[in-house]
Amino acid sequence: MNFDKELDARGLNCPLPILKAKKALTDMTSGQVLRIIATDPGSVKDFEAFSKQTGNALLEHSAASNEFTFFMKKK
Amino acid sequence: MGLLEFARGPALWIALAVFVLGTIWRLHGIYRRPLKPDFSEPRARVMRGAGLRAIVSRMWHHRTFRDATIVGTLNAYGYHIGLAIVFFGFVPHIAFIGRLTGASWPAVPGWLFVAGVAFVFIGLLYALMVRLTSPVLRLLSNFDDYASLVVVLLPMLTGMAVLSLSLPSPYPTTPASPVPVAIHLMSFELLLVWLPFSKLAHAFLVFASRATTGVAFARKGATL
Amino acid sequence: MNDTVQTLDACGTRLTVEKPAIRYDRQGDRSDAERIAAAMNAFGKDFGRTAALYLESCIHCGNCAQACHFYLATRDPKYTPIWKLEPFKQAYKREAGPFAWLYRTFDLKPAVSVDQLQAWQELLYDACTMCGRCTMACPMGIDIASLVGLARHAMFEAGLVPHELWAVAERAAREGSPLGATAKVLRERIDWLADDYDVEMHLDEPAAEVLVTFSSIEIMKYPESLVATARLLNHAGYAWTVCSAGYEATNFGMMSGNLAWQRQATLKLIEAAIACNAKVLVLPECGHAYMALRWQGANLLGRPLPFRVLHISEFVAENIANGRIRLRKVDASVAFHDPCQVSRRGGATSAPRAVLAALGVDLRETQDSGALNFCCGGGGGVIANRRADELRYGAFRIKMQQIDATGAEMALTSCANCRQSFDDGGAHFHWDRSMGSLLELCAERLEERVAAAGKQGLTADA
Repeated sequence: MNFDKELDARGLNCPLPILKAKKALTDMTSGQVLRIIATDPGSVKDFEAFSKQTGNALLEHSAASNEFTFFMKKK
Repeated sequence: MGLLEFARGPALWIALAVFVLGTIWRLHGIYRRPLKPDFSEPRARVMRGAGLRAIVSRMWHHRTFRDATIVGTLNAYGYHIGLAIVFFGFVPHIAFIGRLTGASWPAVPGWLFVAGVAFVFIGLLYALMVRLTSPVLRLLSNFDDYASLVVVLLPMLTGMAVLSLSLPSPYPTTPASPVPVAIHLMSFELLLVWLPFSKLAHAFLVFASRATTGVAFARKGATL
Repeated sequence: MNDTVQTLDACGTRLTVEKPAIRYDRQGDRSDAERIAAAMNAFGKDFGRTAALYLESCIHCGNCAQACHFYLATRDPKYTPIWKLEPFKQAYKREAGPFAWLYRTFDLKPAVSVDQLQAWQELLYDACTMCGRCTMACPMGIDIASLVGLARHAMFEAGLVPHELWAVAERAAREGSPLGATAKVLRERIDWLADDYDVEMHLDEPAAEVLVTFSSIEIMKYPESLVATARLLNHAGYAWTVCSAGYEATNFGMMSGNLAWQRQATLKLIEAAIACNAKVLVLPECGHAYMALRWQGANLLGRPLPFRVLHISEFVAENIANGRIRLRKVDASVAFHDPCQVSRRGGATSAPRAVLAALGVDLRETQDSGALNFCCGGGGGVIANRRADELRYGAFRIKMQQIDATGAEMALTSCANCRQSFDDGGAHFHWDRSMGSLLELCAERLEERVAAAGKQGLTADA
């Protein structure tokens, strides 16, 4: 999947991945896609909730070894 | 010695002594306990009168508690005021106090005395009913609560017994039937003896307790 | 039995320890006799004049129940506030009261037993936030909430604190924070926040006018509050600092009932303020932190504090009044939730309202507001206690409905624990609102300032 910006949130515990994603998204234009890599297992639920709350679509998310990857499109 | 002579004599002096000494002992037991100083900076510049203000303000509930407590509050005022009218406003009682202290004041009109009696009986019986049926009060209530109700009702009941005998006017110092009067007086002496050791002591504790919190809250600028 | 290091659950809507496989609501391995002796000893120390007066004065009217959100939500008489003090009163009358020898000689009240204290753990810790609403209803003026605080001393000494509360209190005493916000984590967060949010933050300056303190809940869960605090202080032009030796404003020693831990946490703050010569110590958006330092701090020190103590809402209100903080208006309706320990118990009810007035919002007070408001249900350590969740949600519902009834667009409070309680309770009830922070809103609405010499004046966007 294509993306316009990447956020490495590995090693960060919640709520940091969300806060950093929020900040990254504010600098992006509508339609752009942010790729986030996190290691915090709680981030799956967090990003789902964040997506629902803010309307930024969670296009895809996957898990491999102990890393979680999210693709979020700015509203 | 006849029963009335006993009731008006040794029994009365013992009862009064226990009442006074018991009250002093209970207050002493509380006030001898250590009081830690408060070094926090008070919010209020002037705290004088905070205790008195609390005594007055807690005579009525905050509006938010009205629905849940107003019936109980009005009922309690009913029987407290009724008791005051009955005790202080009736000719034989005024005469009794006069014999002890020399003080005297006019009696209340007959209808007010009857109203007072009614408020006391209805009030105390309503309070007893609530205490026996409310889940909260059933959990909280102990021997003291029920015994105190009985101890206050007894002078009322024995007083009614005396009243049922025809009372000549002016009321003589030596009644024609001394035994009912003696029993009535002794039921009052039981109340005197019971008061300092029971929840009836709220008669004097209420001022201390409200004032203490009033001062503490005024220091913080907190609404009482 | 492992009742020492419990893993924190730092995700989710409220911070506590991970759900235990086995709950350890009894700490230590002592015999019942030793526990009860420890409890009685603690009781004895707490039977001062004021506690004695209160314990003597209850007339069993039951009015306190009508004020308590736990009773109102369940209608269970055991949650009657003064009933929570029953073993305390029993011990007082039997051992220390003016007629104690009568009570003992005729066994008018039985001796308190460990089973009784164990049964009372739920009443004192799960079903009480020490919010003090009961105190407002008592016709005898008894400060019931303060008695619960005292009774918790005995419970701690007896080793009868609920599992999670004990775990976070112990962690706080050991590491400096109940929730993992150690000095190291604080430093890392401050570095990251200063960088990411482009805000000047001061840590461990040798001297400052204002010592800023934080709550672990903010550091771990709402770090934007730290940014907001910095923005406000910078805007107001104060020389301020956070001190890594004394930054934690929460006091789980006080909440769990451990006086030594309470004193330890308080003295750290006081010593930090003295060390940097601060004139003012600002407490964060936290409820019990205010009670712990503003009203109890000097007494733990043993003398008046050589600096002023202000809740952040009081600090902002004061600096609005003197013109050092200038806020842009907010065109919205707001319902304000009073943190019980700041408003009702602490006396600082008007400060947040002065701030809201400066923001120009349409303030819609809840039906019970200010000093008579309903507690969010999460204070006093209740939110850390998983066993109390259902009780807390029932109590929370009352508050939630009152906020909804105002019809306000925004809901704001000035306590991170209340915020957390609203997050968690709100999630439980699928609430369509969220509780915001008064502090964070103020920081967002700062007027642009021309930079004062040597200080970065900042515009307000997060």
